[in-house]
Amino acid sequence: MHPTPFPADLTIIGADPQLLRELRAPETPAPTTRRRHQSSSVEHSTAECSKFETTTDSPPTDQPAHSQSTAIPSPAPIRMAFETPEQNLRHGVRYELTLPAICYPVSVSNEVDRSASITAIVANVSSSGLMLVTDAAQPYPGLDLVVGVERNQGQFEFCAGTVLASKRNSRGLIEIHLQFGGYMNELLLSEMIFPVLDRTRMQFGLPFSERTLASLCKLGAMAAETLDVVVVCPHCQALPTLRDGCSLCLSSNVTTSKMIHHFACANVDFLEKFETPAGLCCQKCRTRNLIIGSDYEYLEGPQTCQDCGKSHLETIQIGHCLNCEHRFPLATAKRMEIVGYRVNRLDTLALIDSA
Amino acid sequence: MLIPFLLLDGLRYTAVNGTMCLFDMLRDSWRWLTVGPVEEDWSYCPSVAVMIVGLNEGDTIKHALASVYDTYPRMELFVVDDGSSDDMAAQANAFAQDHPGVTVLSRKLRGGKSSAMNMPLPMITSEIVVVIDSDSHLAEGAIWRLVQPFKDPAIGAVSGCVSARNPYVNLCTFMQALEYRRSIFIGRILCSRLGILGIVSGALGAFRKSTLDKFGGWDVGPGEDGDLTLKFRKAGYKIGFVPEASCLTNVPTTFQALTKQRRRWEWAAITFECRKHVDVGNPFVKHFRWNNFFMMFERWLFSVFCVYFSVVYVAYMLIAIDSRTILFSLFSFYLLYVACDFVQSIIVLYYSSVKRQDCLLALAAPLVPFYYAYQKCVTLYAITEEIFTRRSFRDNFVPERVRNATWHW
Repeated sequence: MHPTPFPADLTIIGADPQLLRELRAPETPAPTTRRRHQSSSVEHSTAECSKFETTTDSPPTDQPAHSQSTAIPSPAPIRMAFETPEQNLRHGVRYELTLPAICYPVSVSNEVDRSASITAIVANVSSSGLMLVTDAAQPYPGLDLVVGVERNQGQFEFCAGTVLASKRNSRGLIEIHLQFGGYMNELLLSEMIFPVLDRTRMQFGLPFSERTLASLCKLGAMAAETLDVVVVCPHCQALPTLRDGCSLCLSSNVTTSKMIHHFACANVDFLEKFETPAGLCCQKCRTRNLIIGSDYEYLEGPQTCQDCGKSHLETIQIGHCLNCEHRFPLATAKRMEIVGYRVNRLDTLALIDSA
Repeated sequence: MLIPFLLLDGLRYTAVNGTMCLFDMLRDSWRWLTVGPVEEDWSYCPSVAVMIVGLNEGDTIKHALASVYDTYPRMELFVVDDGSSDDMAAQANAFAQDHPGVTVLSRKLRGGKSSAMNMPLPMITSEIVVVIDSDSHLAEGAIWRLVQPFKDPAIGAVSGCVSARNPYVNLCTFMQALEYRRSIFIGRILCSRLGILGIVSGALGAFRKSTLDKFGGWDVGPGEDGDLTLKFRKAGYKIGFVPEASCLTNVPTTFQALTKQRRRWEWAAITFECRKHVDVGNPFVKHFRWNNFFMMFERWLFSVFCVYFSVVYVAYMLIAIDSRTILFSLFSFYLLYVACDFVQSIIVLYYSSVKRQDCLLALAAPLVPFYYAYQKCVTLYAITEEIFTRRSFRDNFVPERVRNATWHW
């Protein structure tokens, strides 16, 4: 398969014009089949990379020769991330392609440094990593990078990994060998990041640092999504239990009284007032032996709090915090959004398929 | 011969109200000259429980509550939702959440207005119970003014003044607004002066709680407000009226709805005044009082007897008198009635605090005879069906299970 042609009209915001011109230049030895390389050694890989570079050998027609010669610095020595070549391998078949990408270095506090972003081109991909080509600053091996790869219609998909090695090739461009992995890659692996319930504190929390997630959201690597809205304690934001109770003292020790509505005389009173040794008797019209349904009906009377003695109340819903034991009317509870993060992750298999 | 009879209502109201007005003008002038302007006395402040009872009044209940809440210092407020299918209870509960002292009682099945009003009574500890319709809007200081007559222990109940809230919707509401100013505002001032006031409005009325407990509250309606007032009168209490304690209520906007409302009022007049409390006119019972007798006699004479006699008289006219004389009589009657109404408008203006509105309402004077003729027709129809068929006990004002169980007077 041919490497993905780089469209002449494509522009990458922030990309170096020199680099773009080189990539847009016609390829002299157009490959006829997909290039598959068993990356058994660094040398092999490097050779393939230089083969890829040969496609950009011809200078663009509108580019003066002297400017190109001055733009390409002398090759720099490869800096290895690991001491042994075995550690420096990206295993699996590599597939060549050409896709614009933006790399963001990850700081020690696991936040993405947007100001230090570099534009690059994905030169090849394997199941375990990427090779990027850039003319920007050379990242040191061991640095974690978040890489946004431009996919359909200018949409970026993101992956993360550790720089195995970075070197300057014969054309003076920096090759970055990135192996998927690291803390950021964990975040970007799943399709969705769900909040989890801390069963000891009864609070919802996220399995990752919120600052990290926020920095990834700013990149567009993930998007916050409200999954649910729950009622939480206004003090500690833990989950409460709910009950009906007295609106004055917030006690749940509330008894409901029963009332009777006598149809004939419209008398409404408490059940106890109707109860006589001879049966139910209306105190207003003195009718005896009342029959339910035809003579009277039960009504739900007022609520009486057994703790504070206050009656004639409509009960209210009361929350009791499972963490700090705070009691509060439900109306004063805090409504908390349960937020998940939908990850805009790079599908490596799809990327390979398109290579 | 014909004219004095037809003018019975108009003449008697004009003559009596005019006399009262003249007396008040002289008294007020003398007082103004000797004492100066008299300030209202709001020194009496008993505890008050305000009850707002309604059915499907989700749209208006918040406004009614807002017009009542915090207008009096010692007040508890009860809202009873009589099985509404709309969000009345939810609206009232929402109000109660932010406003302490408001209790909302809600019942799942409609049980009728009387039992809904009786529901909070066992929980009320206040001295005075004030009842307000859920579509009513109280004027400023209405509750303060309403409770002042209770200083007199002989007063058992006090009626507020009800006015139309929507007078300018159409001709129907305009005429009702005019009628309310004549019959409720001026008519009740007169009745209370004479000690024969027979009704406390359901839209705004206050009752002494201790006495209300003795009666067991309201009986099954329709017309439960008039029924309770008669009980107070039979027990020897006086009924007060405070024209300054005003309340605005929505009046029916179509003649069909108005006819239905007036039929209920007239049914109640027969049920309670001619059947249930007919003993008021019996001089041999223990609780007989002359003022009660005159009150009932006035009702029987003008609301029942004169209505039927008018029919007989009109029939006699048509048969015995030639058409030219009839036309002349009717035209004379019309002119005199309009003249009487003009005088009544002046009387209303003397007492009124909303003079601009009353001036506007006075413009309808040429239509008043026609409106009262319509009212007399409704009265004739309603009392006939009630006398002969006990129509009120088939009316859906009261749920079927309740009206089947209650006594059919």
